[in-house]
Amino acid sequence: MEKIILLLLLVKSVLICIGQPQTVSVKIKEGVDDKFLISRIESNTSQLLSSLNDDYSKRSAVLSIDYRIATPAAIDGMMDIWEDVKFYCPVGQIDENLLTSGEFYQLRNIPIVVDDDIQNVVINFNKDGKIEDFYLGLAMHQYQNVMDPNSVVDRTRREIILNFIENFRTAYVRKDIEFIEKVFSEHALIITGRVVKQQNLSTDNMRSGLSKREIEYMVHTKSEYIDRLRNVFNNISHLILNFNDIEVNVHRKFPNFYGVLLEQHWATAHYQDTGYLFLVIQFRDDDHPLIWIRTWQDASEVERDEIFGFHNFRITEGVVR
Amino acid sequence: MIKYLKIKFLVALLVFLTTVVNSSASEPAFTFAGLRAVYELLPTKMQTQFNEKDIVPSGVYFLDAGSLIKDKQIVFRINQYKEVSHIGLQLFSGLTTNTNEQVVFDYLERKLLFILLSNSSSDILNLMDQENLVFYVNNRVVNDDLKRSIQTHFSSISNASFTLYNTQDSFSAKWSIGPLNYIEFRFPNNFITISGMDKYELEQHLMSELQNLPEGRAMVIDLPKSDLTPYKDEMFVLRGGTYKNVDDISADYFLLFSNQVKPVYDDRFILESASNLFLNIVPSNIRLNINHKQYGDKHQSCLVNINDFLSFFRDDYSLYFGWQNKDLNNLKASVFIYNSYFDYSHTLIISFQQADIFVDQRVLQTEFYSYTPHNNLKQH
Repeated sequence: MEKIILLLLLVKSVLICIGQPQTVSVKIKEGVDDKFLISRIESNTSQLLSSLNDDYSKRSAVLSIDYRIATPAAIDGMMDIWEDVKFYCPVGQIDENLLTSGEFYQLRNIPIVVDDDIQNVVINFNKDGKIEDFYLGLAMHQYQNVMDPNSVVDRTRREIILNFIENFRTAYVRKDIEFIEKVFSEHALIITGRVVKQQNLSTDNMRSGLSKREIEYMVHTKSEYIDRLRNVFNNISHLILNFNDIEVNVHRKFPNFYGVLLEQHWATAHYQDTGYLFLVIQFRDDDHPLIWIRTWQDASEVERDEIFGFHNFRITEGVVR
Repeated sequence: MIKYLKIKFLVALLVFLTTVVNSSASEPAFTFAGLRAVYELLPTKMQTQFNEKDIVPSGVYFLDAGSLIKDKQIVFRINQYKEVSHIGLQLFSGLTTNTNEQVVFDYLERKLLFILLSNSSSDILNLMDQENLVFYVNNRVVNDDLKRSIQTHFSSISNASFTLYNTQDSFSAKWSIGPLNYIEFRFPNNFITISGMDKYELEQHLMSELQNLPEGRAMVIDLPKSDLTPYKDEMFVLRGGTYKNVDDISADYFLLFSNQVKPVYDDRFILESASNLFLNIVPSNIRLNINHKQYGDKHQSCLVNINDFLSFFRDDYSLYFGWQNKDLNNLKASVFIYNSYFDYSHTLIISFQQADIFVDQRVLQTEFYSYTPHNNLKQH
C-alpha cells in the first residue's frame, strides 16, 4: 500500500547573503502563555538549526537530528530534502512570534540558505513542542516539469486532465456532492488562504520596515470540506463557476501527479469571488483520478509569487508505517 | 328532459376531464434542463397553445410572441424523439447547413426570449453578467432598461443584414441597417455556455447519437500525382496540417499512385496504414468498441463501424492522428477530433496489435473522452 506524505511549504524567498554561524539561538517574543512549551520550542528549534549547520559544515550525507526534538515524519521529511539539496541557517539569533491554532503551533520566517538563496522556512510543532513539520520552499523548477507540448503521450494526457477539470467544474455547478466526495482522496489536504492584517516585519535579519501582509491559511480535512460544501449547496439555488487561465504541469519525480493552477470565478445570487485554485491530481491505473491537494487563495489579495504550486508541497511515496 | 340534461352534463364533464388529463399528459420533454427553464417562463396561455399542438418528430412550431415583442414569433423545434430541442425568439429563418453556426443562432434566439420573458431587470443583468453577454447599440453598451431596448430594436430588424464573426475567444453577432446603425451581441466562445448543455448533458446526447450512427463512408482521395509529395518507398504524402502545432499529430494521408491515387493500406506499411484507417480514408469493416469515459467517473460503451464513427465527425470537426507507442506488438495511438469553431476536442485512444487492422470485422478497444474545452487555457 502506498502512502503519500504531503507537506505544506509556506515560504517566500529573500535574496540576501549572510555567513553561516555554528550555533543558532531562537527566542520567542510572544504567542502563548505556557512558559514550559515556549522553552521546549525555543530549545528544539535552536538545536535543530544548529544541528543543520553542523551537518552542512561537515558536508554530511545524512542529517544527524536528535529524535527527541522532532517527530519521525518530520525527520524523514528533512532527510528527503537533504538528499536533494543541502541547506543551513545563516543567522545566529532569531526572534519570532509563535503562531497558534488550538494544539497547533507554528514559527515562520526562519531564514535558511539553499543554493545561495535565502528562503523563509515554516516550522510546525505539536502540543509537546516537538517539531512536526519543516516546510522549505524550493524553486518551482525543481519540482515540476511543463508537459512536453510536442509529445503525443503528453498531449493525450493533457487532454484527459483538461477533460477531468471540466468534469470537476461541472460537479460544482450540478451541486453533485457525491462525485466531489469521490474525487478527493480520504487524506486530501485542503487549504484556503486569506489576508488577515497588515504588519511590519521586525525580524532582525530582514530588512526592517518591510511591509508584509499576514495571510491566514486554514487547513481542512476532506470531511470538513465536504460538510462545508454540502451546507453551501443546500443554501444556494444555483452556482455559476468558471475556470480560466488553466495551466497543467507534471511533477518532476512522480509523473502520475499533475499540478493544475487556474483562476476560479464563483458566483451565486448573493455572493461572488475570484480565486486561484491549485490542484494536485494523481492519475492512477484504474482511470479514476484522485485529488490530493486543493488550495484556494483570494485573487485580489494574493501576490503572483505567493500562489501555491508544486514547490509549496512535498510528495513522497513509501510504505505505510 | 331532466334525464337529457343529466346526460348532457355528464358528457360535458367527461370532455372537460379529458381535456385536463390530455393537457397535463402532453407536457413536453426537453433535450436539456435549460430549455425547460425557458419554457417554464412562458405565460400559461402560450404553454397551453404549444401543448395543444399535434407534435410530430422533427417538427417546427411557431407561436405569436404577442405583447413580448411586436411582429415576432416564438419558435419551437422538435427532434426525432419528439423532445423539444429548441425554444427561442425567431431571429433566423430555417436551419442553416452549418451546424456550428446553428448552435450560435439557437443561443441568440434562446437568450433573447429569456430576456423578454424576464420580469426582473436583476435577472437580466445576472444573465448578461454570468455569460459575459454584452448588448451594443451603435457601439454603445446598453445596460439600462435592456428589455425595452431589445423590444425596440429587434422588432425592426427584418431588413437588417446579419453577420456572425468569431475568434477562438469570442463571438460578435451584428444586425446592420447601415454602417453607423447597428445592434450587436458580443459573448465569449464557450461551447458549453452557448450550447446550453453542461458536459453531462452533452455526453449523454453524444452517446445516444453514437448508438444510432448513420452509415458513413471513408473519404475518397482523388488528386493528380502533381499534388503529392514523395514520402518513402513508393509512398506519397498529402500534408493535412498538424494538431495544435504538434508535428507528430497530423492529418497527413499516405498514398500510392498507379494510374490513380489510393490510400496506403498494406501490411508492409503498418504505421502509415493505421494512420490512414483512423483518418477515415480506408473503407473498412473494422469495429471500434467505444468506451466513453463520462462525467461522474462513469463510462458507457457502444460498438460501431470505424467509418460510421469517423464520418459522423466529418462536417464539424478535423481529425488528427498521432502515435503514442509504435511498438508493433503493442501499438497505441490517439485520434484528436477537433472542433476549431468552438475550440474543443474529443480524444480517442486506441490500443491494438499490428495484425488487428487487417482482420475483417476485428473489434478494436478504445477509450473516448469528449467535450474537452481549450478556450479557458492559459496563453503563453
